[in-house]
Amino acid sequence: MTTLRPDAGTAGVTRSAAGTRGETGGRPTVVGTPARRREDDRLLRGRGRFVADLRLPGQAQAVFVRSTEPHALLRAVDVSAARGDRRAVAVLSAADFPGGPPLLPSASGPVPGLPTAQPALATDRVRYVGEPVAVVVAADRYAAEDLADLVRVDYAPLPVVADLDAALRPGAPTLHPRAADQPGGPPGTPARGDDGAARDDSAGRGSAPGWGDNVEQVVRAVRGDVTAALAAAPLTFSVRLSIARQAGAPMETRGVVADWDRAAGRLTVWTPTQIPHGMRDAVAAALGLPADAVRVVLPDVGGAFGTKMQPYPEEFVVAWLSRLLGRPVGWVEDRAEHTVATVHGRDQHHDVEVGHDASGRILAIRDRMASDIGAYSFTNAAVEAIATPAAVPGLYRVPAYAAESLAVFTNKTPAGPFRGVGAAPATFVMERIVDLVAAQVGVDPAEVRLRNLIGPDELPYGPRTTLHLTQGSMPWPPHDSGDYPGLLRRALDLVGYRDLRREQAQRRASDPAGPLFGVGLGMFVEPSGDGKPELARLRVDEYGVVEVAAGLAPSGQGHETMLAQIVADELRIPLDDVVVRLGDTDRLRWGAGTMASRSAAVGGGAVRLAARALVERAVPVAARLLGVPASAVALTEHGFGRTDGTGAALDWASVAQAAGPTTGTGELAAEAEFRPAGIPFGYGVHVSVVEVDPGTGVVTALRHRAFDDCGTVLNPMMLAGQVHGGIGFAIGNALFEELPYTDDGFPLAGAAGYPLPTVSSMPADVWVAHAQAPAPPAAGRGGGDVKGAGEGGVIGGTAAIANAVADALAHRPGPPPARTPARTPAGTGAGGTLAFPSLPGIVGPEAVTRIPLTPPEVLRLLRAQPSPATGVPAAYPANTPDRRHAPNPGLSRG
Amino acid sequence: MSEHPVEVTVNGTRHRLDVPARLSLADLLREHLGLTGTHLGCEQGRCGSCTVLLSGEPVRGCLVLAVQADGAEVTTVEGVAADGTLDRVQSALREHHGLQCGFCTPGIVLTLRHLLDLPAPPGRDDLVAALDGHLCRCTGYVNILRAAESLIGPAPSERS
Amino acid sequence: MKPAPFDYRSPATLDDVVTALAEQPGARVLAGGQSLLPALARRALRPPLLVDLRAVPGLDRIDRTSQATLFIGARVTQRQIERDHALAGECPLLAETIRRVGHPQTRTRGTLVGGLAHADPAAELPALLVALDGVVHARGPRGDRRIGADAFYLGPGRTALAPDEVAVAVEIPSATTTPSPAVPTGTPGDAGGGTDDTGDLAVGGACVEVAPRATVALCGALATVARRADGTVAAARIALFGVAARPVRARRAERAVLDGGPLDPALIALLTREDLDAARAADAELPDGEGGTNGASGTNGAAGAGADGGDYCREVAGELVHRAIDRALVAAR
Repeated sequence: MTTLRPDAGTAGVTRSAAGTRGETGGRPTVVGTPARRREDDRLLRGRGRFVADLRLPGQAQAVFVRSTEPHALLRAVDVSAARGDRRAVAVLSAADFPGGPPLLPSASGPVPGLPTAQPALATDRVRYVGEPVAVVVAADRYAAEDLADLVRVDYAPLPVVADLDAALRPGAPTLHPRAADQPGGPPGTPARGDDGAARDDSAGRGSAPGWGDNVEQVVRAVRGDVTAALAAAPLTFSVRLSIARQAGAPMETRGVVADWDRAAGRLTVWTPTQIPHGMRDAVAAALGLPADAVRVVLPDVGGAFGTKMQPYPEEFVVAWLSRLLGRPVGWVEDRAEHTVATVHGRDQHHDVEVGHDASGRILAIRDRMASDIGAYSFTNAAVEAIATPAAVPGLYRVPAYAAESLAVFTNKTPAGPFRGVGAAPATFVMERIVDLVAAQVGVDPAEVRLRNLIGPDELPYGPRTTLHLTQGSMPWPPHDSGDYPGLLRRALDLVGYRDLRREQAQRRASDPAGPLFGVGLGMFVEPSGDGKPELARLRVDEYGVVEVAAGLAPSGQGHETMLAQIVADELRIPLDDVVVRLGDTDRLRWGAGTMASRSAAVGGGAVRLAARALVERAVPVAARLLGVPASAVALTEHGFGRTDGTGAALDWASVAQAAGPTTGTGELAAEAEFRPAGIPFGYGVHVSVVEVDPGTGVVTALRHRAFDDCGTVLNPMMLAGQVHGGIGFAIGNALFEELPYTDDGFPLAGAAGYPLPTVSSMPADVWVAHAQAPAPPAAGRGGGDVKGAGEGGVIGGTAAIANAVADALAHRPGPPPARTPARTPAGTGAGGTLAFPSLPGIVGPEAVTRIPLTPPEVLRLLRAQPSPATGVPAAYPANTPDRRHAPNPGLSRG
Repeated sequence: MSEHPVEVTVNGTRHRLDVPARLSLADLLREHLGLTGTHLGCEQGRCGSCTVLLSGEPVRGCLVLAVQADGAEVTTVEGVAADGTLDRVQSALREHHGLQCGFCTPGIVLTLRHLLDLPAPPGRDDLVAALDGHLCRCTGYVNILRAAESLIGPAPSERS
Repeated sequence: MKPAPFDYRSPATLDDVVTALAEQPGARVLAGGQSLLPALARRALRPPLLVDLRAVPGLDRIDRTSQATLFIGARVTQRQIERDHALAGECPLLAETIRRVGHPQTRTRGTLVGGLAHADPAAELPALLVALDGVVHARGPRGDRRIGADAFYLGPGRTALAPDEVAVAVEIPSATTTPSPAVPTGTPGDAGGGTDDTGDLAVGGACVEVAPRATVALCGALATVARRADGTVAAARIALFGVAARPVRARRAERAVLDGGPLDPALIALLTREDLDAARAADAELPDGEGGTNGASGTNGAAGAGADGGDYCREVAGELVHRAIDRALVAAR
């Protein structure tokens, strides 16, 4: 454990300006300093170029006709009136694609070639409101929307599967029935002849039920013998924890401009994506083109957060249209479309059984979870279902653990990743479990954490969990390094945790009718990257300017600045001599992209390696120019010189000019791949302080503290910005973000309706600090000891806020109000196809078990009768076998 | 539907155009005048990205018809740093890292610019009330507010 | 999200506005447009013609009579009201409420009268009309008429305005006017009645909302009170929004305030519940379909709550009323 660096406001950042972090050879390093962003100037002047800003000569605009039904057979798609309009450039439905519209990839599906993949335009059946059915093209968006109004779609509604419980109920209607089960003939995917063989195959899903149900796949995570451990645990309880359907909701919606160059036989696609190379390959496949016939170029991207991490139907169709029409075609999603056409996330139930002892040590957890993945095996639809199960135990020991995770189809917009995918719901579940255990045994939640955290001497921890996917099993990567209890202790000290508890007691005593004051903790690990490699390429031009290309695709994080800082230090050149150009697939052979908190840890590593390779390329050239052996050449802050310090200095420009013949490439350039040997785990703790209005259930977040360890800090200003943004997500995710649907499958969110936080939703007092405990320089880490930090804010923050609300409610004074009907206990509810034999010790209806904690939800909790044990710290009776399953008479009631 | 003549002064330059009645001021700026710094995030008046100054007052560019702007003066983000150097609102946002993806930023620049131009200096509550009219998904607003506060005087003594 | 095509006229006189509305069925009046334009962009409304009031003189004024009655013209923006500092004394509830409407950037153009005519039952302004016992002045081909707050709202997005009528102004009686509790309905005829102790009374207003996110309220209560020098209450009017298909006047709670005595939260909650049940019963009697609709359809209601605010808003209505009264009484000291 090293020092925490409080970053209290920008003043603090400014004070730690260049030079404070260490110097090499007299030159201050820029890594570790709050270098101002090179992206900002153009963005502040309105000169950013986003996809909606592109207007190529002759560019037409597309608008999609979308399903207004959640589930229906398509009787007819009549485009004749639209085609007859003189303003129509083109109007297409699925019938206009020879061989059918391209299918979306199903990268997260259980097996390749799924019949549950989505066609880019609906063929004979629609499965969610918002599904693209037809496309119209006109000179501008106004006219195109007029034409879209003219397309007539005749729907024959089918029974709707509106949520997890409905989808899993025995006899539920199925979204993707087997041909034999299909009412009125075979399922309508005539375009997918090649996939026909897969249709009657259920083997792909392991032991899961056949295609006759709504389960796309089942994922399991196993650590130890959970059945035995639960049976042996002195105390147990069970609870259902849920997270609503939520979304990444970037300020910029999606969009694409495609330009087919008929002469060159080549397509250029401008689109805000996190995966330029992946998009290139997907579009090429969809159009039947070789990959090098497609170039993807990244414009400025107005936020992505995972929503732009996969191809969508619109990119395929717009690219197709451009080739068909021989002119540029653009499409920009509007906000009303965005809420139904861009992936959703979360939307999980967890039926959890917990075994622990009287001191609060957690001995076993079984989690039967289900994730609503929406209507199709969309590209990454099951990613939350796959990424959650193994992540639940987090940074706690939990000797025995088992999870079964169902990816479930419903008639909703397909799911996909957004910030904190898997980790955020897993952490909410685990952190609630820890607090429930604390309440059961009457020990402070901070102390219970200390009793369960993996100790520094136990790291690296694992691999202990095995993840079983349909096509194989893999160990969950081990946690690499850190000091979890040390960070928690420091954080508790810095926030004055004891003082907060004192303040809470005082408030309760002095103003029993006033706002309820709560303090919550949220601890998390943040896996940095998904193990995928990344590529970087550096080139020096004849003026000595270093151009950096990498597979990363920024969407506001500041990669242009961060990568330049790394390169400037490695090459010992001024920041201004580095130019970062990302997101052009013609500049780099391949790239993975920006996701999973990997850009600094993995992308930065690749750039660092490429910089070192560049030096290796340059040294022989410099040696030749200096007339000394390569071993006598040193890299200096002026370029190159002799190691003995004598003689002339050579600048980078001179070396670059002389490099051609030597390197054989005609330029001084180097490329490097970084293949991470493992996954670095950032970690941290968030402390949230909230007030709950007992009369209305409104939660006000008062203070928020974040402490994390993400290894070496590259740019403290930008790092704090990432954490702040994550806390913003956490406020929304924990308190009000939700995409509600009616019971019959219609989205309720209005045109501008997804409820994002505003400035006054935020705690007035936000404070972020970083422990720089450098990750051990493990092999293959690219010489960096950087861990990711883009997601920790939402992962830890959401749990901390939820726990703070729970804490406030648990500390409510006075007699409870009139009893309201108890919430259905876990696993026994109507439609409880997830039902399992619940252990006694049902958590009471007043416990926080679902986010977001909207005023109605909190009011419901306030009006529920608390269990007598809640908030009453009391020594628990000795573990006697006969009481094993009834730890607390109050808690086992109902 | 006939076209309507509109005369509007944008960032000091007068323009005369014939526009359809349904054209929004934001689309007039973006599509007809090439001023794409005015971003459309929701077209429902909620997100604030399209905020411009109309006769000196902040408005949603998506909630004003071009015909309603006839005879008015409009300032867009492109008109803020007219002399080439960043305006102090822009500088404060840069110094305090008050932007990430930058999509919402132009609207925020104009809202803050307007507040600073009011006869009475704004207080912190005024800043919060005005910034509540802007959605940002990147920053958690923390540094936007710090940047705004830096413009109205010394920061509160200690942010613990 | 672009509007369907429409035509646009900007007449120079009110009579020409009325003529244009009468000539083109389905035409809509455009004032600030801050509620209308979002509905147009969604194509939730497709009027063939917008009739802009921008060139009509005289509608941009706030006038006062000697009885301290306010007349606020149809083009008076919410920003104008915010900046009219005299209003804070004359009608504290108006000043208090207007700054919660939309955002500062929509208040630049949004008008008070437009917000009234938009008739969103989950928004503040219709409830403000009810709480202030305001009177809408309308002009149509059949002449001018005054429509009292009680008669103005017919349901979400629906008002008593005929399609060819335009709301010209709203008349707000002096906050110190004290209609007799025996005449509970503030019809236009008796709006000026009651005792008027102008000068001797202190007026206070409060708008209390549940707004988990600052800019979108789920529901709320508005109260205005006038107190005599001895602290007794001479006048009290209370309205709720987000709880029914129309704004709801909390008359029983008003009477409890006028009766004096300590305000028992449980009693206020009970009385509010009765008012709410009565209002919802009355809503159920409303005719369906297109009535007078010179306001946009659709509501501002938060997700999960219907136009009537759902069970949650019903649950907290009494609490909100209690708080609103409490704060208004404090402000009227």
